[in-house]
Amino acid sequence: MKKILLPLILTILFIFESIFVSYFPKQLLESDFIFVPRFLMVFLILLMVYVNRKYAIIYAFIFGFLFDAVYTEILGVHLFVFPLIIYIVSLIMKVLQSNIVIATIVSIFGVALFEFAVYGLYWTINITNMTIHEFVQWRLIPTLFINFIFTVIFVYPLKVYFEKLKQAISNE
Amino acid sequence: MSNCQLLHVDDDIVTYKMIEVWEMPQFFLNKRLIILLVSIIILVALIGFSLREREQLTAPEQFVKDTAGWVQNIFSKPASAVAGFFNNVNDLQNTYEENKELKKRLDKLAMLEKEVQQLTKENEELRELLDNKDTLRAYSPIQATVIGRNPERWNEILIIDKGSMHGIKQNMAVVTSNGSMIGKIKSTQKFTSTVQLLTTVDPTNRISAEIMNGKKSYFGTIEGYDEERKLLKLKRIPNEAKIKKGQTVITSGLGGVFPSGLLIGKVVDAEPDEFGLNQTAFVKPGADMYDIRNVMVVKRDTIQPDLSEMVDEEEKK
Repeated sequence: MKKILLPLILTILFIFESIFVSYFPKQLLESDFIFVPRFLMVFLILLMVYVNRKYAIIYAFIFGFLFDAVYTEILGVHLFVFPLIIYIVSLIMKVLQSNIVIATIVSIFGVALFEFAVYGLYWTINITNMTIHEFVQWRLIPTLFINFIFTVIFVYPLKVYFEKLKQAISNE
Repeated sequence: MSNCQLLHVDDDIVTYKMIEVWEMPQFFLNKRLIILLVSIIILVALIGFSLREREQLTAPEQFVKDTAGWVQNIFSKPASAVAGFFNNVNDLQNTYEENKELKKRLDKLAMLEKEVQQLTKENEELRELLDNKDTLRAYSPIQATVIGRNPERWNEILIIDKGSMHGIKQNMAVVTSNGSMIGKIKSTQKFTSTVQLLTTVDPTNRISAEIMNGKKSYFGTIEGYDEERKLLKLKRIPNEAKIKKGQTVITSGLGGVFPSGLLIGKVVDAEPDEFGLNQTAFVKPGADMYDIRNVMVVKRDTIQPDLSEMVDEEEKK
């Protein structure tokens, strides 16, 4: 049961990101800002922090590919960036303690890195002409804001779930 | 190389070291570096592969998209029901004022309707006189519901719940229920298709358009989107055209795939292009690119001549 739950949650997050941008009421905030939900990324980073890196990287590959195939139709970008960010963050986590505050900060840092990496790749292949200044102002800051709220709400329940999962894995 | 120092030591060790140095330089021994290099090569190859102008997605991609579409369908219906409920509550609050405003317009509408009827009749009669039945304007719509959207919004992509099984083909125009254009079909699968919105920065996204100015109209092509100003660029308008703010831009139907008369937007301003030969107008899209639930995929009724049929027999030889 515990083994099915993990891919199920990831699938729901994957679909939820798309529903989120379709129904997020833009009138609530200034409409020129672009809020990009990176809930999948946050979830995978927390999975890496609390369970283990191998699991996180395997799922990062799978959902990176799904993201590319379903949402962007440009294969390779997320397939590559998702696992890379997990790997970089895992190097940082080696020198840090895994308490709840650090986990939150590291997740947001990972999302920021992720946004920069995707922006850089898209800029090189001419999907966007945004300057770095516009990118930070209109995309990065709102994106970090929305993902920070998500992380703060879900970091504790996820921690509890991941610790149970880790126990179940080590008991095998 | 530092092997020279080893010459004094046992012969066996020397040969062993030599082999290691010759066969695998230290650099490549690092497993992580190899993985990184290989994945960068794969990344570049995959991006290059998917940026080509593709007629169709590969079979595995289509399978993944159709499967994902099935799951999205399950989730999008309840989500839209919940969102619809909140919209309704919102609408109720403004009902009184809206009602007053609408009543005012209703009187004008009756007159307009009569006029439209007369004009349609007249148009049909004139067409019969000319013996010209099909127009570029005629189209048959296919209704579809939006089931997903690219969360990133770098390239604005929608996923709709109708696919090639329902008669959707690549490059068809996609309009909202009030007839303003929002994009075109980028790719189709069996049960779902992908819509690329007008607001995507894509230089290959071209639409032949027409600016309405009373009796006269000017032609140009929509080429790309200005991300900073959030306006569409309408290029190649002749210099003598008098373009004013607020003029309506519609599709001209000359480009081939789209029918004519679909609303694109309104002119915001115009400026001469970089060589001074033509003008470029900036157009504000008429449709709300954010709040999209139901769309129509537009299939032009006029038969598009097949290019291969237009080649002469002699040329073929």
